[in-house]
Amino acid sequence: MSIDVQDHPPLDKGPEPDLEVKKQPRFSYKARVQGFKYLGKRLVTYLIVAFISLVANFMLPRFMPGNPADQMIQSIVAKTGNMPSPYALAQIYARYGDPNQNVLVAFWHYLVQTLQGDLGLSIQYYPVPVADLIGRALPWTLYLAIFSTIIGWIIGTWAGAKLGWKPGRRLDSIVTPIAMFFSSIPAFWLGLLLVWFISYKNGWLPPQGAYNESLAINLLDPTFLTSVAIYSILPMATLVLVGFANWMFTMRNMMITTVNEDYVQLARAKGLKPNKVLRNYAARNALLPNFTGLAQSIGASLTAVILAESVFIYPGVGSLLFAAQGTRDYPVMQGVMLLIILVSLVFNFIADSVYVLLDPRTKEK
Amino acid sequence: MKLETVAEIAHRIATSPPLLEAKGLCVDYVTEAGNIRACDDINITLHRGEILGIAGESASGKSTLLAALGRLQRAPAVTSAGQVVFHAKGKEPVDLTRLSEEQLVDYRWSGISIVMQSAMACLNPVSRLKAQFLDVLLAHDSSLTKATATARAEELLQMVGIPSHRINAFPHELSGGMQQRALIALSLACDPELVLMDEPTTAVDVVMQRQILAKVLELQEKLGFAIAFVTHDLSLLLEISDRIAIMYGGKIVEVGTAAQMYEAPRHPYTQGLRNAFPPLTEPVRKLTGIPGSPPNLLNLPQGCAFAPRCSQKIARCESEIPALLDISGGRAACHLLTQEIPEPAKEALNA
Repeated sequence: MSIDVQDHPPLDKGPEPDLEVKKQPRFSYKARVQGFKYLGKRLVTYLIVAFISLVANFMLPRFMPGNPADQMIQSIVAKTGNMPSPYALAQIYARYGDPNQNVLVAFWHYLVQTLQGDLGLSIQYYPVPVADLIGRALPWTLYLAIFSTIIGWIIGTWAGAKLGWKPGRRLDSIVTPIAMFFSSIPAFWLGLLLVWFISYKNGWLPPQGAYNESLAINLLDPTFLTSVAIYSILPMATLVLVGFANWMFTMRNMMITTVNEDYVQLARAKGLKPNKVLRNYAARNALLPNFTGLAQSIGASLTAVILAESVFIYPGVGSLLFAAQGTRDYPVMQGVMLLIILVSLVFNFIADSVYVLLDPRTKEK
Repeated sequence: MKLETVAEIAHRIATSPPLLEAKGLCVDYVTEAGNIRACDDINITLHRGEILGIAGESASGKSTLLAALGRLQRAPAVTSAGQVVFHAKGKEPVDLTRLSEEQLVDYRWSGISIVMQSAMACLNPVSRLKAQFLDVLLAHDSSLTKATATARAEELLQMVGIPSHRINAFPHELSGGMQQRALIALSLACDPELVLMDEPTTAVDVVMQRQILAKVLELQEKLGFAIAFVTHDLSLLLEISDRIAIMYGGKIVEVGTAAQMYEAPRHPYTQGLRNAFPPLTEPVRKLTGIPGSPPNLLNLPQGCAFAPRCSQKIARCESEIPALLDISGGRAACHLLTQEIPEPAKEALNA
């Protein structure tokens, strides 16, 4: 468009810089490449962190006082009455330090083993491989961690958006202290209270376990799935009750600042329905920090899950770790530690990917 | 734009029907230290197709007034008294201060739209321009489909000189000037009768400011909407406005056509503002500022708020608040203009 020069003698100066009409596809190729570049960079960072955690996992037992390898061999001998097999011995030395071997060579062996999914043999359940033990426990833990975090996140974010939209209202003054109360209770203590009241006192729900053990594990069997759902209500509720408040508070606070942003004012001035302003303008922007938090916290929530599992005797990684601590089952403990780190990294990466989709501005940075 | 004479402008405004009337409008900021009256007894009528400039120093209440006219003020600002009567086309005049937020929706954007100061902060950073045009278009005109609304949005962007394919851009992908122009295009989406502009060109450089203003004037002439334009830049208002209102300490102290304001400002404060910027065509002279600083609204002087800084004040100024009275074509609130004054002061006034 050009300004009609004749009509505006005092105001006609200056070129119009944005006039060149270039054809641009809807999702520009450039923006897409930038998005992938950003994710690629993040991926490299995560791979480096994963490698460092592998190194730490390899080094830590070697710094332990005494000689964990010898201790382990002794406890296996005490348990089984025989010397471990040569394969098991080699594995123990590879993981827990062989004084006769070069550290770099040992690390190489360790790395190759780990990358092949071989985490050594459990001491407690000798000679069951650690990978098998974790493989059996992990689905339960992930199920609890992912679902409880997501449910807590949805409830917390939704409630926070409502409260922050009009802070200081009656709803705010009722819900906020209650949420504060729940968020400050430790998960295991709330779990104990729930088990005592709901299971032992009233018998409404099963107190422990992950499914009715008279049923065979079959993911296609609706009876089995129902049983899993019913058994998980209590641990899930515990984790959600303890977890949702933090989401609510961050969302509420983000909403309070976002609601005063000019673009929310402008949306109001546009005469849009209040719900639309809340959803598409205020909450949509206030949500961004909560979203990064979500995937990160699935990794972080493993700690709470592990504690809750011990209360509900849920057959997840937490129970496995608990048992391993009691018997100094180093291979299991190390395997679990490595796993928690990797799971956290995976979810962090998911968080980054989602964030790129949600906030177009990250692509530019 | 033809250059009109003062009389022609005055005539055009007088014969044009009123569009928005503020009657005794007061806006308070509720604070712990007490209520701060940011706008005090504002009476002004904006006519159809008129460009009204509102100027004043920081904290004079001009932006607060604009928000109150559009019923957009947010806590802790409260409209404590007065009316804002809006004469929408084909509808009965209605007092906007009496309407609920739901009832106001009928008047928002299709009646009164707004362009705010910082475009980057006004556009939703996480959605494309298209979404931000479409939601308002579809909300106010149920006859539009997605496709026709998109076409309309593209047309609006082209109108302000943004290529239509940029409709799929995110706000951060546009330059500052483009953002501001996109915001102006957005404000015109529903064919408003009044566009409130709160320093729309403060965030861009002078070259872009020229282009944007030229565009606004061109569109204003074509589409015939009225503009209430708030800025601290009096020289800019002199150029674009039909009439100018000067605010000081929450009150309107002078109203007149732009030419009157330029050639013969009545109020000592307006004279001070007028003398603070250099003329382009006259010989170089020493510029003078206004001594002192804006008044504390929590603790206003008893009489005229400007009296402590006024070089021409008389005894009455410190005890009695001057009323905004009709004075030879314009209106002004100053005791000097209503009393028999000795000759030297009169000369100073007419200088």
